[in-house]
Amino acid sequence: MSPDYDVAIIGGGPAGSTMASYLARAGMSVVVFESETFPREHVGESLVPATTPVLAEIGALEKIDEANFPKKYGASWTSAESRDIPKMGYSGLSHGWTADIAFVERNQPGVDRDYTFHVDRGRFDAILLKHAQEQGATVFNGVRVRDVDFSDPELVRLTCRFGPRDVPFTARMVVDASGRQTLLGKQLKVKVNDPVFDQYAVHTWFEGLDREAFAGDSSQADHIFVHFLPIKDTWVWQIPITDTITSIGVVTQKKRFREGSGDREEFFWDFVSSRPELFDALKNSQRLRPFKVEGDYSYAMKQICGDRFILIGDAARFVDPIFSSGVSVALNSARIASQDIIAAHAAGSYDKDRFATYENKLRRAVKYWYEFISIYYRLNVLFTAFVQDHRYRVDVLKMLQGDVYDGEEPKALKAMKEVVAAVEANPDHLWHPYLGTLRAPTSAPGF
Amino acid sequence: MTEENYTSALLAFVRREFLADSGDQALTATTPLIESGILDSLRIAVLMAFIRDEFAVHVPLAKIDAKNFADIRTIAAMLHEESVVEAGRA
Repeated sequence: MSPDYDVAIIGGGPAGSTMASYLARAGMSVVVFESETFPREHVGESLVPATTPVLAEIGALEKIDEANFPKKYGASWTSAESRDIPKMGYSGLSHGWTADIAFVERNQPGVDRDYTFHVDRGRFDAILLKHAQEQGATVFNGVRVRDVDFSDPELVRLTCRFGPRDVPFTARMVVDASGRQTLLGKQLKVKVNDPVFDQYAVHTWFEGLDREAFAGDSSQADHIFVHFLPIKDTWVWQIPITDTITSIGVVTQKKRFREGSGDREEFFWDFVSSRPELFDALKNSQRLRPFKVEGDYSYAMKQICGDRFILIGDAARFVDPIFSSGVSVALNSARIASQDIIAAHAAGSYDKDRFATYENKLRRAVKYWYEFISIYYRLNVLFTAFVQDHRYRVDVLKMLQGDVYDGEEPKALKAMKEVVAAVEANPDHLWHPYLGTLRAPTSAPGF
Repeated sequence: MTEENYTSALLAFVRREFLADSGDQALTATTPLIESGILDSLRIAVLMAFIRDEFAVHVPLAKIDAKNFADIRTIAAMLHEESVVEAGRA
């Protein structure tokens, strides 16, 4: 029997809608099942320039340009590095160094501009899903996929919830883009929680935060800001959403949240108060949304593809968001996987080995992200040191641009790993006391 | 550059960058930098960048230890040593 569609996509976020656009543009019949009704709120608001070529390729870049999202020209970090150091009479030391970097400093292949965007994901995701529909994909909103049955070797059967009843669909293969819900990962029991990065985030939007107050100069006011707190492994994101609205989130280890009262509002203000200037600025602004929580932080999948299925975006992997990699992984995993799917369709076979290129590329790229993130938490001062070192600055930037899907291991990564090893081995090294408590396993295959 | 040149340039930099707001200018070449809190992890990174850009001496990051960064004098001695090594390589 002939299936209803060539490909069924679970989830209409950036990964699913990008996949749908690629496949529909290649002439395949595609259906997207999105459980929510767009627009809806979503975390993960800062993009990296590696999203630009994908948006251009699926023909959506013009629509994103027209949406007038704030332009992101670079990244800045601030720090209050003063913990546990006796002052011996010196007072009023000037703390709070800022490091920053701008995308314009490195030419990125396939990227025609020196900025990317910060986005209200409600609007951004809705534009991309509507775009997929305009490319020819069938899109169902408010329809939840309840079960995926692989028992028939010729096709995949999906059970979908339409209002009060279940409706069956068939497709030649299924793409899981269900995000952190990880529908197939759970069903197939291939999801592995990260033993190290058991992080936790509390976030919301503020109106009227004075962003220029944190910027070295006003051109940096619309950078993403990462504010380090003088609490180990803890930081705050500051992302412009509009001229006056700013997204703020505290990321820490889950156990630190549990140590407190468990009240998210109390936790947020308590942690932010360790940076008084940030605390005051936020208290002088107006909170627009209830505090929201993201738990069950990082995870990997033992399998990201198999006979008649592929996992993309957050459904395939989630790493700590410190480098704004989320939407980039969503779009680029869709891009790379779509090439394998289009080739598989042409060959008339959807077996696992058809998706080997995708599996290799995605695993390698995410490994780089993961290693950079591990180093960041292990010894975050290295980023300041490397960003200020002309030998490595551009290489660190390559990572921050998200340009990791093709080519060799980034040079800065290798050098950073060597420095971390030297600092770990030498208790007299002045950075030794600053080693973070998070240590990623270097050999774990899934990570 | 002589060790004395390094010393005076480092003194000026540390005063300007790390002690400008403190009103306490009693920094000498033998003031302990770590115990006094003048140097912390991040400031070491800032100081390393200054050394690299100003003196064109590339100190390996592995050399950032309590002995070499005890005070301005020990940093200057290390820079002198490194610059001799670099000149030898050139």
